[in-house]
Amino acid sequence: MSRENEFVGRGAALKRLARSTKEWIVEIWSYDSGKAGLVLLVVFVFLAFYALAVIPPDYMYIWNNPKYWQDHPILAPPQWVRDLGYQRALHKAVFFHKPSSKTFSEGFNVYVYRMSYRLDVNDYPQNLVIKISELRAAWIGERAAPVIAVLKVRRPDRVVITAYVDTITPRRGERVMFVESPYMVSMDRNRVASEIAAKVLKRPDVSLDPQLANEYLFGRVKLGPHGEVVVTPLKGVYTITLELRYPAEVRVRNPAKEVELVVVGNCFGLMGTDLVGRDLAQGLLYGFPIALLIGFVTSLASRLIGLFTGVISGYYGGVVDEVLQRVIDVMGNIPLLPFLILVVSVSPVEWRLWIIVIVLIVFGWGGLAIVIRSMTLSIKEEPYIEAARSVGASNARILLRHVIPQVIPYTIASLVFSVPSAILAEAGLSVIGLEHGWPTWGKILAAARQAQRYDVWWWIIPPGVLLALTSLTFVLLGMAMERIVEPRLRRT
Amino acid sequence: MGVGTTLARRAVALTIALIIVVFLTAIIIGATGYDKMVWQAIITEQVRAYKTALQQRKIPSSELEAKVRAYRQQLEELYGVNKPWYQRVIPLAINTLLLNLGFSNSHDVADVAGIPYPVRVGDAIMACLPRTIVMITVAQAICAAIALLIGPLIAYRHGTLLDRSILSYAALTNALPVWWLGMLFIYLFGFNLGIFPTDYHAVIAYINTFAQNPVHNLLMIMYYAALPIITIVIVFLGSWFYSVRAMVLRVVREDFVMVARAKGLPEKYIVTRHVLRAAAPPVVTSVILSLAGSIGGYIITESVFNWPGMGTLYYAAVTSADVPTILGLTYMLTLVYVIARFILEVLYILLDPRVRL
Repeated sequence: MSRENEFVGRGAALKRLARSTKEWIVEIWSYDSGKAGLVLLVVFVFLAFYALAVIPPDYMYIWNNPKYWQDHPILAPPQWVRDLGYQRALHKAVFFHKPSSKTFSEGFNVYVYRMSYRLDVNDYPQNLVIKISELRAAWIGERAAPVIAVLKVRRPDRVVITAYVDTITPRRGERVMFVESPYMVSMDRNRVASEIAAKVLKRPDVSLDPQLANEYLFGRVKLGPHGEVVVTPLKGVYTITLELRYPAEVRVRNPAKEVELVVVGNCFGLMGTDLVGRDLAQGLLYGFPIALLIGFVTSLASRLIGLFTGVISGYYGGVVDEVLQRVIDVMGNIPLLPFLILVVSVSPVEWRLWIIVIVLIVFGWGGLAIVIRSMTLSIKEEPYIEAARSVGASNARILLRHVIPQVIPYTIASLVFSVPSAILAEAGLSVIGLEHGWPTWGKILAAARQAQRYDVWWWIIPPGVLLALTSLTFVLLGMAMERIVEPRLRRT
Repeated sequence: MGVGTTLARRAVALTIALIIVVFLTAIIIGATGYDKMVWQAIITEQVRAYKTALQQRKIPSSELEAKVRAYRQQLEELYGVNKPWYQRVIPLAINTLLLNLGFSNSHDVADVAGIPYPVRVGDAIMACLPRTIVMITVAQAICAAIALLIGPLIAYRHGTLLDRSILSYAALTNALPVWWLGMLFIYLFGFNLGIFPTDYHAVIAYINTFAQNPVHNLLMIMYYAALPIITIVIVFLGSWFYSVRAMVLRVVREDFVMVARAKGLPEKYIVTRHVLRAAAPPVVTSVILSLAGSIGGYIITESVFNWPGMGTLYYAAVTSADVPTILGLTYMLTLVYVIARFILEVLYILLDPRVRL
């Protein structure tokens, strides 16, 4: 056979493959369940690729590092609950790349960052957070001077509360501070509580609970008839300013590369946050590629093993068959989930996700192999196999050309059916507390369970729904395919 | 080959499988050094406590170091950490196979069993087994009963609205993780509506003292087991329907059923004598295997409900690297499963005359 011919032949094979794939899709589409499954699959694959495109490379570290999530509200429901009429204070973060204004007072050059926040519901924001990256240090000649940061809140009733004061001193020789990780602080709750007592309550002797400082800061504070503190939300516009004070001798054009002022609200984003303040929308989005990857890898590998062992066992028979059948027998008697839990427990945390995949591959091919073997046994007796053998076709050729193509449809249906098993196994293992580090849907559920917060619906429901939808996708597709490969189940 | 030889061959194969499973488990724990790692942590903890106790008695530091070293060595000797792994786990595996299960060395296992430490592995298993049976085996039995009653009917109404809605239900519940539904139900019916308990650990008391006040205790056990059973039945009924329907459907389409119908035999007679008889072997297989499998408990579901059954016991044993309990449980579960498989072999022969050949 000439080179050219071979090339043409391969092209034809590809065309044939494309045609049969198209036929499959058309046929699957003709069933309602197939239609639903295909649509869901396209959506899921799209989301998985979208997540891969936007995911930061060190996301696993970020997700597990509570410090990173300090400027997020804790246990906040999604923002859209406001549209349903729930009274939840809005979350607002403003980024600055240069100061809003610059003044000179009391011997300081003062750079001011200003944001306004409208409280429009009967609720209190959770916190105030400042985040500064790459802050210029104040150097007078060879002497380092501190930069003073002052956070002030001007309330709708015109009272100005100083929520935070800090003097930031550079380390030896440092010209720009907070390059690697930003300067990030929350409001000073003790200070707010005492200032509110002095300026709003006009009773400096009353000690207010610093735990509730955010409520005092964003509320009307009164003393009740029995001396108890009564707080109601104070609606209106708040002005939050961060002043960076440099000594008069030091002039800088722009004191920081980026300043972020955050009024940490009581609702957040599309999916809300968990107990650490992690944005669940992100976690759920990045769960897509991991879930689909482990599902597909496990399913594909175990189906391939099942296909080949089944065909070989059925076609060659004899000792090979006997050995493979006994191996499948032993595997069938192993209680898989307990075994999986044991193997995952004994392996190091960073390997665990892959150990789950490997165990499910190694122990997952038996069922398919048994079916493929019995299919092969009957195909083997067909006259055309004998004909092929009589014209001198090799065993390999007969297997590749005549046997395997006939068992492929069944294998593909079984592949589709078995995709969810690894995804669900991972989720289940996470939920009982086997840590593997990766941010998966199962791990989000596990965190909710660990915190014993079954009542936080936005934490419990979405990951479970996504898990169920993923498996539903493949069950629906599988059911449609099953009808194609098993004509007896076809609609009459 | 006669019936006897076939059964003997199966029995040998199943026994070998059983032995392999136990040894494999032992080797995995031993060869990875998992048990050693857990023991080392315990020893370090005990040595530190010993050292602080000595320091409080103001013993000179030279003497103290020697004493601490001696104590550590003594502990290592006691727990067998200084021996190579196969000397630690292989004798345990052999003892387990000889049903000499020994003592558990984990407080967690004793906690789950509800028996004061130290606890015999056999006692721990026997304490947890009834708890799993009243929840999971009962749930599976309910599923099987409903599916066997209704499944054939669905197969007969193939393609109707009823059939299609049951198929959709099967697809939906097949996709649903049972433990997740459990979490939702605990919140909804436990915390929110207050109909069912929120913590299921207390069921121990009613099962342990069952004989003292059977009626009251039975009611309490039902109160505790109701929500887990409902959850499991809702999720598993779908796939039960689906598989019974598929098995019956396969037979209904066979030629001999057509022939029977063509002969004008009454439909009822065809169902009982032709269809159910032929569909029996796979149906019986799935009923028996799922009942046998349910003895092991659903580790994740039990954990979500905090139900102190076999699954929870196994997980406690794994996390505390309690080798005797892990081996004992693995052995008992596989044994039950293997016996169920063997019973099936016998049943096949009774149900399907063709196998006898």
